Amino acid sequence: MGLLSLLRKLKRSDKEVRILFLGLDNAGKTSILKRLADEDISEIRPTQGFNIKTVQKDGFKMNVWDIGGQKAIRPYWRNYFESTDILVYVIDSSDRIRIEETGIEFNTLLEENKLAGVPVLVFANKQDLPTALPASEIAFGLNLHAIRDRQWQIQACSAKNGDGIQEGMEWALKTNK
Amino acid sequence: MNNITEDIILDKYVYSSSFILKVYKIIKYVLGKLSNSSELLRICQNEKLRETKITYRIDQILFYSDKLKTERMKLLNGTKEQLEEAYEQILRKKKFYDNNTEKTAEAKVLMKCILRLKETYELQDILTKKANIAYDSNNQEHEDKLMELWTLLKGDEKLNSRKSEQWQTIGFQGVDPATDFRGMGILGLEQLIYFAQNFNDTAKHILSCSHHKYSWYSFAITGINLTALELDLLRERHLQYYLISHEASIESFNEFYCYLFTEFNNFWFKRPEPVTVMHFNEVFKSFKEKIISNLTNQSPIIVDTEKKKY
Repeated sequence: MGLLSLLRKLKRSDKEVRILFLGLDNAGKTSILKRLADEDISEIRPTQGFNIKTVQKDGFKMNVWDIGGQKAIRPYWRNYFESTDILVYVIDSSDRIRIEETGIEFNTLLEENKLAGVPVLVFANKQDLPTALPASEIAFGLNLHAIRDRQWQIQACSAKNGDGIQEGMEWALKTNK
Repeated sequence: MNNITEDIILDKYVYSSSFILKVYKIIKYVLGKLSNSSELLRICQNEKLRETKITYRIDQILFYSDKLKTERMKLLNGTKEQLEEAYEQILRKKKFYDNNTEKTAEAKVLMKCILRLKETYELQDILTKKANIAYDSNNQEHEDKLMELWTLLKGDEKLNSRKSEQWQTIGFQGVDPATDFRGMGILGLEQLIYFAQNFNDTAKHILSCSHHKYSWYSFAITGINLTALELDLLRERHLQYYLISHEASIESFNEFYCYLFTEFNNFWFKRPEPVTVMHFNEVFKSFKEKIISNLTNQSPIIVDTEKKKY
């Protein structure tokens, strides 16, 4: 076997996973994505439409779709459900006023046929802020413990200082091994 | 169409390819040895060139020269002493001195242009600082600015409360614009205000275009993205010629923003196929390419105030 075909074979063994990032506007989806890709997060702008990035990690090729979270864009979310391997739902833990709103959006997603059985990772983001709710309270607010039809995990994290992001993604990838 | 001048040709065909740039540098080296002169010196001696063009050529030379890297840093980002020091080093390296050490006319031209260039790099620092000032709801000055933007765009319509769904009508994401300024900070807000203030009719017209039934986009969010785009253009040196030929000031930067906004609106509605907000990043990317090409060709920068129907 030539070197080139060997390399190609090695490359092919990278499993491709399609990851969908959803959540309300200002939750921190793009910041977490940039963290994953080791990019600068100091000048993030609100996402119009979506961002897509491919990140290589632990033998996985992650195609991450980061969709804007503003209300007017949410009707478009469903266009991106198809063949999703992992759903990552991002929450601004410091935004107590909108915890209910994000819970409603989240539970609507769980009822979507096209997302049936897809493992879900909830990032309780912005834990660096003193006003952030702990992950346990968010799990309660989202009624996570009632989920029976899929694997789920909640991970406290901070896109700002990087805490928890790796741990969360490692769990997500494990569900796809 | 503009005259194709040397600086444009260099930007388009030489500096854009590392191979051609290498060949070009070898030719320059040989010519320099043969004539005991330097490109920098010849440019400063060229009486036919306008000062704007000379300044821009100097910027190109400094940026692409391997031998003047330290001098460039000292000139453009350093203290006054470092500037003097680097200036002397360049005069010596680039053969501005004959036998005596008297400053020639060319040397004076060089200094004048360097000072103009320095302003463009200082502007980068000023704007970066502004972009780093986060919007703060507890800061009355910031709050006043936000209300000013509302009044400029919406006139008599009353805002029912500070947190209101109404903000979405001018293209913010939710009920509180404060979080939307992330990344571009107070600079994003000030540029929106500048546009709405100085081109009020145009801004209002574009706002109404942005409410298009199928191809809608969020006006204010797009504005913040345009601020980020413009800052990138500045940092990537695409705005150099524009700033040198006008004036390296916040005012010029803001004028260019108004140009960007009107150009973006036209670009958005003139796609071969109608687009939706989900195509935004794709369209934005080709928009940036188009603007870079306009800047490289030194096309005139004019804010399009014509009210086109889309």
